[in-house]
Amino acid sequence: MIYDFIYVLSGISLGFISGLIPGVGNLVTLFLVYPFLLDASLLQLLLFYMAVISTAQFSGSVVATVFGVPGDASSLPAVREGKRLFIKGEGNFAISNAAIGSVLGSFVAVALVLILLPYAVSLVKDFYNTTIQISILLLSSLSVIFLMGNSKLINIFVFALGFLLGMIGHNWSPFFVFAPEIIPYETFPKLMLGLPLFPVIVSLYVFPVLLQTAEQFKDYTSEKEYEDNSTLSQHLKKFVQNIWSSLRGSFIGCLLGMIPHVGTIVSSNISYALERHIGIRRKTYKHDGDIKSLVSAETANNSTALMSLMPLLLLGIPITGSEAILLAIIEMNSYVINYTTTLETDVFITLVYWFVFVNTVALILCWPAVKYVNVLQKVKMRHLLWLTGIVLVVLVLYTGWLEMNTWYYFSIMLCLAPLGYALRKTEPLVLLIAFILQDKILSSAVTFYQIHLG
Amino acid sequence: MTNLLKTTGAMFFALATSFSAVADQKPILDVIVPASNAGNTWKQGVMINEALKNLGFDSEMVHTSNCINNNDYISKASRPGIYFNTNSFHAANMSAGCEMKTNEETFLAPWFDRSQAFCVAKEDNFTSLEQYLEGRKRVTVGNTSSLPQGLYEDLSAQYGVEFVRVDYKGSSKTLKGLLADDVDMIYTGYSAREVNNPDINCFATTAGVANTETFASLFPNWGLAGITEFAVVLQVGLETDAEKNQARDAFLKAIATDSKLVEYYKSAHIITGDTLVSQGVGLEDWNTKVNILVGATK
Repeated sequence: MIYDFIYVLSGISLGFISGLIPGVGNLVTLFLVYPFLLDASLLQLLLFYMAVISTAQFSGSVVATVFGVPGDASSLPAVREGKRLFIKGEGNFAISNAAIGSVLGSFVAVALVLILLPYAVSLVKDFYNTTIQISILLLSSLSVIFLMGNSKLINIFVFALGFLLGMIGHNWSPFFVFAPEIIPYETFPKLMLGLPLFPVIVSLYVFPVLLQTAEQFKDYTSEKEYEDNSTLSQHLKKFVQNIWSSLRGSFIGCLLGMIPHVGTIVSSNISYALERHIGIRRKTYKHDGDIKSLVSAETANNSTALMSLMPLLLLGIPITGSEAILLAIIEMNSYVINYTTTLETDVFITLVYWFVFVNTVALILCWPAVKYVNVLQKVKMRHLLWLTGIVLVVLVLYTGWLEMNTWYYFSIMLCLAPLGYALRKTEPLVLLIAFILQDKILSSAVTFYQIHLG
Repeated sequence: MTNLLKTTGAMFFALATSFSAVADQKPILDVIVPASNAGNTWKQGVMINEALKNLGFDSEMVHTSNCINNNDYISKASRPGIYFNTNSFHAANMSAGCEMKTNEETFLAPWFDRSQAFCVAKEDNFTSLEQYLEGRKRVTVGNTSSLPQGLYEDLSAQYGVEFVRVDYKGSSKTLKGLLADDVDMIYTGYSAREVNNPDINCFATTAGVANTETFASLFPNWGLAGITEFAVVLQVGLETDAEKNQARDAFLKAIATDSKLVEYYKSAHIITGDTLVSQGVGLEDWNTKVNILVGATK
């Protein structure tokens, strides 16, 4: 119990920091601390992860509000409304209301999960049906292609590229070796096992994201510092005025959180759009910064945080880049994750209760820490990004060493780095998701074909 | 006098530490698992590792996860260890371009011989295959993807019903496919997972265990009716015959006497290595079963 608590506190602290680094966030955090997670149990890994993602949502909205830089597309409402509120001197309320709303959102998500729990096992068993699986996988693929980045055509190309990279090596279902006449399997027999995940993530996801973040901060100049002179009761009173917006965001977040990969983006933006629409209709929307729309979007984010974990917890299917890293760590620690190890044990229900605790503690610990966000304005983001990049390279070597393949990992990372550079103008998550899901998409498609058309 | 005392004390200390060092030297035998850490092989590996420790060995688990990494590890291994190979795993790896050398030099002992099984969902109220197939034009059969092509052609010919092969990545997913109504039946290893599952009915097995029909009686024309999952234990780093014998005896004793292992094998009607040795089953028999599968794959 005490160790579980330590993992939760570490997750909250690191999640807070990771949310402050736009664009990189949870995925890099997990990768950075991986060596310290080697002895963690399945529950501790999940607690740590849950603490990171919940707290990072909170600090991510702080950065979006104060600096006007979106961590990802789910922070766009925070950038739009939060920044306007910050400029007119209500940044403190924007941050506090988003934070309190996030806790409320987590409570609603937990309530919904507890209501559905008695039906969960039978529902999950049906989810193993290939028709349902292929539908989920198609939905996730189409979601990332059509809802992310700027160009659908480029997304299709990047997705196809990720899929092809995922096919390298020996595929088990269907049972074949990919392009043996082109890929030098005899010279590099390890290629038969496919490209290792960690070097691929660093070169093709983190590297372009770091470049994008550096670009975002290139011309950044600070105009105003964050300050909060309001009392706790003033913050709470303000939140009560916006509680219905928060509740609407919670329900939207719960419902849309299950959409793979883009759950937070879709739920926060739809909550925002709906609340804005209601505000305009009622003539209450404030064009110089609307706190109701902001609260709704930020609440939806945190409801989604729990719901988006469900496919991983129940089916072992990661639906975000950071979940893919978490799954890799879980497997390296020799654990299996699906409904038999979570739902049919105490892990799932323990996790649900901890989720409430994590969000409450994150609020209590992080809210006072927000006043130090001004320090970030003095840090050179370029230096921070360089440092992150160097540590990640060292960690690729370390994971390679753990897998007895140090130089192989390093070589793969180096070979893919130019491709990562070329991807800096695209949405690199599209490639990563295609790479991660390739195996599942291909095997489900083959099984589906054999059942219905074979 | 002081010097004499010091010298005697130093000698006593040196002797005591060297004796204790010798006394602490346990024979080393790691358990190397070239398969997923989510399946039956890993589960058994963990139990064998525990049993070896109880028998006085210094034993650690090593997870190499696949043939390529395993060969890599074996070539560099600094500690003696045992690892596993099965006929179906070997045939699949061969077609994927990797071979775990299984010969006189590496072979230590037979590990187990496990029946394959045909199972349907319990809710289908299966009574006989004829009755089950009546009125059907096609039956979908789930199996692991690494099995040979044309696996069910003989069965289709015998019953005049198309047995459609449906591939899954691993036997665990095959079973989940049956439970999720993906397929009509599955062809899979008859392990504890299948034996203890209350939602499925395994109506035929290779050896006719647990009151099931034998494949040979149900499918007399089936070329693969006699195929079982035959696993062997291989060794690395055991230099002398004495070391090999010590490891072999310990391994066979572990699977024959360790309470957890005995229960595991008994519940799944698996014939273990100690029985196979007493029946004179060895490397030749393994090679024969591999050749049938490899031949079928080609």
